[in-house]
Amino acid sequence: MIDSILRLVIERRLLVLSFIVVIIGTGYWSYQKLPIDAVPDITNVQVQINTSAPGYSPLETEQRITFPVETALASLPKLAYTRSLSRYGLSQVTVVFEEGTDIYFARNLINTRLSSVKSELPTGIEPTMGPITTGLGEILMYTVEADEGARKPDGTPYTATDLREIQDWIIKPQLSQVKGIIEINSIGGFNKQYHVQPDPLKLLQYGVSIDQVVSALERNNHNRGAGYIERNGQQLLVRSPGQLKNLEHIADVIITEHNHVPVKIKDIAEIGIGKELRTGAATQNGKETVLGTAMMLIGENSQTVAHNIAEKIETIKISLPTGVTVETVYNRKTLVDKAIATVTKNLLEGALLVIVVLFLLLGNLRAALITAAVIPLSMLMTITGMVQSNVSANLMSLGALDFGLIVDGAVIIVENSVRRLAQAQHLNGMQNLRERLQTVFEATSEVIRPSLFGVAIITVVYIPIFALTGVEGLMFHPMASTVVLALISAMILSVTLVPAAVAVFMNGKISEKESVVISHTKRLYKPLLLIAFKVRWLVMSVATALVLFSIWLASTLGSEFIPQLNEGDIALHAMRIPGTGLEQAVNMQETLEYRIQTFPEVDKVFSRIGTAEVATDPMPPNIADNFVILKPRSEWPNPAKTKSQLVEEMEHSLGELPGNNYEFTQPIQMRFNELISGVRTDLGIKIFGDDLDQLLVTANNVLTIVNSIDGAADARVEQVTGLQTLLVTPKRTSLGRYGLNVVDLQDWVAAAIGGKSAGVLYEGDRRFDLVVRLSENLRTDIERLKYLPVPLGNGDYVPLEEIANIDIADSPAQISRENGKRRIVVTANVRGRDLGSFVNEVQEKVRQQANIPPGYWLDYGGTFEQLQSASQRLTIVVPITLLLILAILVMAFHSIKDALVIFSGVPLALTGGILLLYARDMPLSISAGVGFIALSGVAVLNGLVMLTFIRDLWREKGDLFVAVTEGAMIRLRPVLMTALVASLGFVPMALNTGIGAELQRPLATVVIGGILSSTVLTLFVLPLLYHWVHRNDKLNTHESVVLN
Amino acid sequence: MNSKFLVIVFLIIFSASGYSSDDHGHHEDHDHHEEKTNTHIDHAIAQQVGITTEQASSATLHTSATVYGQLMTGPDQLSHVRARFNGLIKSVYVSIGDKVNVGEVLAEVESNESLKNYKIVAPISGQIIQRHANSGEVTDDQILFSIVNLDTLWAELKIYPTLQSLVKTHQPVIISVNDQRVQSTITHLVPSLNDSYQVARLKIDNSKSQLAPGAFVQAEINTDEQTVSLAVRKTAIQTLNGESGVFTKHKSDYEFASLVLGKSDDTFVEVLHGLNPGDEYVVDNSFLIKADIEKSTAEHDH
Repeated sequence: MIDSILRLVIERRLLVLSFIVVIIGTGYWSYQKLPIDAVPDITNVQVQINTSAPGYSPLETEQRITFPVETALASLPKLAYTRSLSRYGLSQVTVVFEEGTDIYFARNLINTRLSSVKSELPTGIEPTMGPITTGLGEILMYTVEADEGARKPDGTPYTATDLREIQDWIIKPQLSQVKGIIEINSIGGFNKQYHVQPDPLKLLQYGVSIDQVVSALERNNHNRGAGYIERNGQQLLVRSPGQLKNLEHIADVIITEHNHVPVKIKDIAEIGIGKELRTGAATQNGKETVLGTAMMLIGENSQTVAHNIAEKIETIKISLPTGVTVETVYNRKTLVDKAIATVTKNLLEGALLVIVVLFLLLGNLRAALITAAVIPLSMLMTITGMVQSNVSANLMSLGALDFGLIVDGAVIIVENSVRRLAQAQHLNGMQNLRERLQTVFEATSEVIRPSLFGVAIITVVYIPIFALTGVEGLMFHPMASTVVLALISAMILSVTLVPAAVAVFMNGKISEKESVVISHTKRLYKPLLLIAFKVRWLVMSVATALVLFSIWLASTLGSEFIPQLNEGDIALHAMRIPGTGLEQAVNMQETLEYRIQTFPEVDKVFSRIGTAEVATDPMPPNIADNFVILKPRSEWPNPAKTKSQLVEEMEHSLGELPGNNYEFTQPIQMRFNELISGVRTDLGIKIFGDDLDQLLVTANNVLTIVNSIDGAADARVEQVTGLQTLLVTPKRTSLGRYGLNVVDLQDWVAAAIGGKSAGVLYEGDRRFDLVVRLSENLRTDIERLKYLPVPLGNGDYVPLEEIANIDIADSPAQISRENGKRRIVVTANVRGRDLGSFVNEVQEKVRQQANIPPGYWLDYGGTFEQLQSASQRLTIVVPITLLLILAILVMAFHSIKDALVIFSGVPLALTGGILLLYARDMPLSISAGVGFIALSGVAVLNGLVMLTFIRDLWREKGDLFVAVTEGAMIRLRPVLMTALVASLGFVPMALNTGIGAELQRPLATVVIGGILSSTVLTLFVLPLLYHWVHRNDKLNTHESVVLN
Repeated sequence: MNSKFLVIVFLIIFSASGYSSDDHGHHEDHDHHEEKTNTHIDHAIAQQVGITTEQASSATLHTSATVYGQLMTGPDQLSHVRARFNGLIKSVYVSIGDKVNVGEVLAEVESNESLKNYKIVAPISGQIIQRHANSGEVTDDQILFSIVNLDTLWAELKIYPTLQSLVKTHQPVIISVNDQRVQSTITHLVPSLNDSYQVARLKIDNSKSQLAPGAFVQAEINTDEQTVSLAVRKTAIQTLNGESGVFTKHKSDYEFASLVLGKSDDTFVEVLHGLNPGDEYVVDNSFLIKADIEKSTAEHDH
């Protein structure tokens, strides 16, 4: 079949060439649609359901909101699991779906269920789904600031409330329109509210209750339409405006009559613009600020969207009041640009090196150009394929591409054609067209099978990567698919375009100067090969020893599972003890930021404290996400300082500040961690049950057992308590004496301390809450709280302490649930012991010793699970892959012996990779692993081509030794070429230090080292082995027919 | 051997990486078992973050309670003047708003029985607030004049059961009414007939006529004043591991001293045990010290 394709291609060579235009066209069109980002998206398919419940404590949130929502969502189709947390004022249920579920389908399902659960929720409580975005979604952040001397129209300086108003009503509406933006999230400042603060004494005096105040405000704040009337043929709309417009209007609202005198709001209350009870704050460079975060819709191109939004911000600046500025503090585009620049630079330099090598070794410019043309064409085809299979362009997906590897197939074909054409011209003089086409066909057909087999094998070795699941899968699938796409594209090109192009362009005189390099190498190679034959046992034992040595070396190398992309900026969690107040946290944050700014490398620092308006990351006020934006390296006092050095110095310096605990990470990484949010230790024992106290007791019991086991490290119980609560517990008998119900007391406490909403005040398009609550100094003074008068139905009053006990107690800071049940987690890491046996022992001991009450149960999770499942899959998939490769080889040779000989190339190729990793002091990582995979492919490819030739020669000449040596000599050039292009193609990658290079460096290092060793192997050990294996064989003619 | 090798390489890569992949998840070591109670903060940093200290010493505690009530006139301050003998009013000398002294003639009445004129005089000094008398009218039994004296007022404060053991007569009180503050002492404690509260009565000087009866008042009763030998500021108190106490300072080291606390007022709290006079303890920003000691437990569960 291949032959007929080849014939067709060579016959219709011009038609085939014209397909180039199609490839370029679709490639360019696809490129416009290709999503570009810095890293692959490792977010699972999840939907967050946030329910804001102002004033609700964690226990109430869980009972009244989380539970019904969670229950409604159980048993959704394609559901993987649900988890939830209930905090002060917020319930968040995260629904995770199976991989590959369509997010819009999932959201639709949830929407249906949510609308049915709404009736079960307290009035006014509305669950909403989080924005349709991923861990890569936070693409741009900006702050809203006022200049030092800026004044409002009324002459006063801008407050945090004013800035927040500008953010919410001027900036946000404009930014939300940018295509690809799903949400603008605000944090910091205060939402403007109108506050009516009644004086309890005056309430008593006029006999007015808080409820009356609220209802008076509600009943005097409406516009009404009343249809229309017609007069003299003209239609008149009827409308009765009555909305409150400003503070004066509110002041004049009449509540009731007292002794025939109207009682107005201003008689009993202070009226003013106040601050909401906020759940989050933002700071920049040690000062409070308002921070906006633009979140990108799932699947958009972050480069374009970030660019558009940055442009939009420029136009928004014009619409702001004088003195107010918007400053972009984080822009994903910077990172993406840098990362893409790194990749592009690597690819371009690699491609250029490949072309130079091709030209030098082939000694024919046209041939070199034909081969080089495969590079852009296969790239364009790959891009088309990526768009079709929804793979985004990023460091991981493009990082493993090596054009050297990709053009290997083409190199072999072109090299053979050039050699054959030159040979033919040399023997018979100029060929006519027919003869030339025939030569091209023969030359191609001679090597096409081995090179196709080779490419097929390289493709097959990527299969294990597709077996990875979870985060690893999301991370590496794009890489594997891109490489496979590129290889297949190149494969298609080598059987179609390459022969066609050779047939068209390799006319006239074929100059095939044996380049100086090659002829020198050949002169050197022959005697060396002969010597090798003499000392074959030595060569072979050295090779074996090398392999054994490198296995040992590999075990001493450090390792990392997933390589970390250096994002160029630092993110750090500043963690304080639970229960830390927001204002206290802001103060601590100021000290922290001033300290961070003393580092000359730091450009700016800003932070989010607590939870933003849209609770995409529900943090309590005691946690702050700090973003440290670094200056460009050139502006550092010591540009050679590594980032990890800087982080270390920072960690040390910040450690001196009291009360903060830190966790250093990077912006995107932090976001992924927040979203994926699994147990991040080796072992996590989840305890499920009903009673929070009992859960804690059981957890501590389990903790003691875990601690008693050898190898346990950092074992701890998840922190669930520690939030101090002011309890106002009703005294039921006293309440009865004064004729009150519990709910009367609770309503009063809620209104007096938390505040009660009394409607909305409209200022044009802007709308602000109108809230009735006691003045700040009354509601915050715990000592005096007990004396506050609670009104009775008869106009009398009773002090609060008479009807309620007031005390401070510890209560749960948050309640976590998973799959519809309360849970608590005991986590532990393992040191100096094999994880599997540790987990087994823990399970055994817990079963025997732990005191688990009925109705409570355990579940074991943690990274050990992923590790186990990954190892299990790989122990199945890797042997299957190897068998598959072997099968392909056997198919090619119809000889297990030969297949094994070729296969022996793999370990020796790996040797070089390991040695170079060791020399460059790099750990084993999945990146390096992918390098090993690519390497095995190249090694096999080289061996395949070499052996095919030797066999053909053996068949022709009938003498094994002559066939082996001559075949080796003929294949010297292509072997060297493929080796050189493949390794040189990776050199820029191996040396690059730009953003994102850390992902590619290990891979490139492995391939370069491996190819060097594999080339030596192919040139010396392989011929020896083949000769040794076949020393007693008679030439078997029917066997060799297979390849023709 | 070849295939095994690949398996080994793979397994090395995957299993070994498991051991290091979790590094980012570790926090610094923490010990739940021997709970930490001290920390070290450099002087410069302590100053920067506003940690201030004070020496523990004796203090006077002013304990007080807040109650509410109403301003009243005393029974002796309101007088309703009637005619002693019914008759015809001959002349009236005062009208609403006039101030009168004791004995001042308010009107003259011709008695029906004796047909003699007699004078009606003011029984108390004060201001006329009602007049139902015009010359030519017959007095009948009606009130002719109401005179009220507002030079002193009475505040009647409701003392609910929880405070009744603390409130005594002669305790000093500060009354706040409409932004004015007036001092007085409790003169009587009167039990009420049907309600659970007692009424504390106290006299208030109103010679400048700034206060009006009927106004609601808030009162601060100084229930106790006592000098204790050792007290610390309330802002210094923190709880650590479930115990209340303060942080004492020795050079740059801070140590938690758990205290047995006694009485307290708004600013100070008595120390019964756990601290010596002269010990230097943290007053402002003591929360930071607590936060620093407990910080290893601070974590971020995603």
